[in-house]
Amino acid sequence: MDSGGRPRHVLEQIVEQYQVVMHGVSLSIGSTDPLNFEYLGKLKNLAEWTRAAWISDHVCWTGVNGLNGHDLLPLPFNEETLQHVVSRIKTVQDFLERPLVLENPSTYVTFTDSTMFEWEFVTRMAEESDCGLLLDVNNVYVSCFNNDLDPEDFIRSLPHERIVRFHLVGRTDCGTHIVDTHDNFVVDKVWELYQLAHKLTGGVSTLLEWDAQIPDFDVVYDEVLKARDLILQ
Amino acid sequence: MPEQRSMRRLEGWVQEVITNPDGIAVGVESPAAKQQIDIDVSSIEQVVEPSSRMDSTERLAVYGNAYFSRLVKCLGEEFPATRYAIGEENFKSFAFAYVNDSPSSSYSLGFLGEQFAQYLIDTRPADVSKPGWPDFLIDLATLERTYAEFFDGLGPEHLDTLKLQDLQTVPPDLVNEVRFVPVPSLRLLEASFSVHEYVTAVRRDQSPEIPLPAETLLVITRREYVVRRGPVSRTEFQLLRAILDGNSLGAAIKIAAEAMPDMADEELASNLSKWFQHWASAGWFIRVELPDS
Repeated sequence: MDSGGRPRHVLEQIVEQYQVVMHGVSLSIGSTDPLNFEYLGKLKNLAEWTRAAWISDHVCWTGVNGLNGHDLLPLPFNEETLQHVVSRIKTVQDFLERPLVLENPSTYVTFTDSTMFEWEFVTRMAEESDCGLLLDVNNVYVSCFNNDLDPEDFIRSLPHERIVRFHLVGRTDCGTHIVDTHDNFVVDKVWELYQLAHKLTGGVSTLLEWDAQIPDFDVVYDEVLKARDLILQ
Repeated sequence: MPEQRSMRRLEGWVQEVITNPDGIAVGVESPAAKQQIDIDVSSIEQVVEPSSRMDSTERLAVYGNAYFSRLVKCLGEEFPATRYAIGEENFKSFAFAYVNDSPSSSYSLGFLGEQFAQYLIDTRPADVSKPGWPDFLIDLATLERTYAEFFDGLGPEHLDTLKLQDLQTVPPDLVNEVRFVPVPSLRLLEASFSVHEYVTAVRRDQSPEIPLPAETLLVITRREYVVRRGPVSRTEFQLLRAILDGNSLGAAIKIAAEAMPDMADEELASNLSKWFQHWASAGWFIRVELPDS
C-alpha cells in the first residue's frame, strides 16, 4: 500500500494477469479510536489500482490511543461492541465503495463483559452491516480450543450464505493453548471442520496461508491439493 | 456477572497490560491500567475469563509475549547487520527497549524502525570516545534503515533520467546557473566506518570483522528496484551535497572547491567531467533546470 518499489512492481505484474482480492490486518474495525481515513484512503486507491473484488480484514482491534500493537486483539462480544462495529463497517463500506469481508481471528482470551458467543456476534454483525465473512477454519479450531468451545457449533451457527472465502493454516500446539502461527501443515481436525464448512456453504474459494518457515513450493502445493481432494470427496 | 465496563476502557486496559515490559501482573497494577479499570492482579478474573487450562494472567500473557516478540523480530529483519554486530541477545535487548520507548503508532510495520538509529544516538554511552563502537552501530542502523526506505520508496524506474547529451545542450554562459533535479531515491550518507561493506558481507552470510574507523562517504540510490550504494570522494560528496541542498551548479562547485582548497582547478575540472558522466550513466538526476525554466 505504501510501496513504490519492488513489492508494487511485482503486484503490478500479478494484477495484469489475475483477479485479486485484498486482505489486511490494520483496519482495526473494533477499535474505539476514530477510523483512520488516511489509511482508508490509501486502501481505496490500492483497491482501485488492483481492481480488487473485495477487501477483507479481521473482527478485531489493533490498538487505541493512537498506538498500534500490530496484533489482532479480541473484542468483548456484547451489544455495545456490536453497534460500534456495525456502524464502522457501514462507514468503511461506504467509503471504500466495495464490499468489506471480515475474518474471525484466533483468540486467546474471552472477557467477562461478553454476553454472547463469537458466532452470535459475527452473525449479527454480518447481517446488520451487510458485510461478507471470511471463515478461517483454523482460527475457529484455535479459538474454540483456547476458549473451551465447540468448533462445530461455531461453524454450524454462522450465516453460511455470507461466507465468501475459507482460510486454512497451520498452528503450534503449546499444550495449554494453541497459537495461530501460519508455519505448519493443517491439522486433521481442521480438515474435518473444513469439509463441514464446505458442505454448509456449498463451497467457496479457499486460501492456504503459510507465511512463516515456508517449505519448498511443492510441499505447499501438495497441501493446497489436499483441500481440493477433500471437497471433491 | 460484574457490571459491564465501556468498550473504550476495556481496550485501553488490555493495551496497557499487554504492552507493559514487566509483564501482565505488573501491567495490571500500573497506574495507567488502573486509570482504565481499577483492579488488582488478584481480581483479574473480573475482566478476563480463565480457561480450563490457563488462568487469566497466563491467557493475557499470550498477547503480551507476542507483542514484544513480534516487534523485536520485525526489527531484527530490518536490521540484520546491526543484529549480527551486537549479537542476537544484545540486539533483542536494544530492540525491546526501543519498542518500549517508541511504540508503534502507524498502521504499517514499515515505519517501526524509522527512529531506531536515532534511538541509538540518544542512548549512546557518553564515556566512549568518537568514533567508537556505538558509532559503528549507529552508522549501521542508519544505512540499514536507508536501505529499507529505498526498497519501498519511490524510485527512478519510470522516469527519464538525465543524459550526458542533455548537459551538453546547456548554453555555456548558463552552465553555472543550472540546478540538478535528483531522482526521488538519491541520498548521501556520511559514516565513520565502512558500514556498506559490512552490511553486504552479512547479507552474503559471511562473518565480517568489525572494521576500524575510516571516513566513509556513500551515495545511496536505487535502480531496477535494487538498492545500490557506492563510496565517493570527499570533493564529489561535497559537490553532491551542495547540489542536493538546492544550490546552482556554479555555487555547488564553489562550495566543494572551498572544502578542498588543496585541489588544483585543473584537477577539479577533470573530475567534474568524470563525475557528470558517472551521474548520467547511473541515473542520479532527472534533468537540469535553467534559471528561467
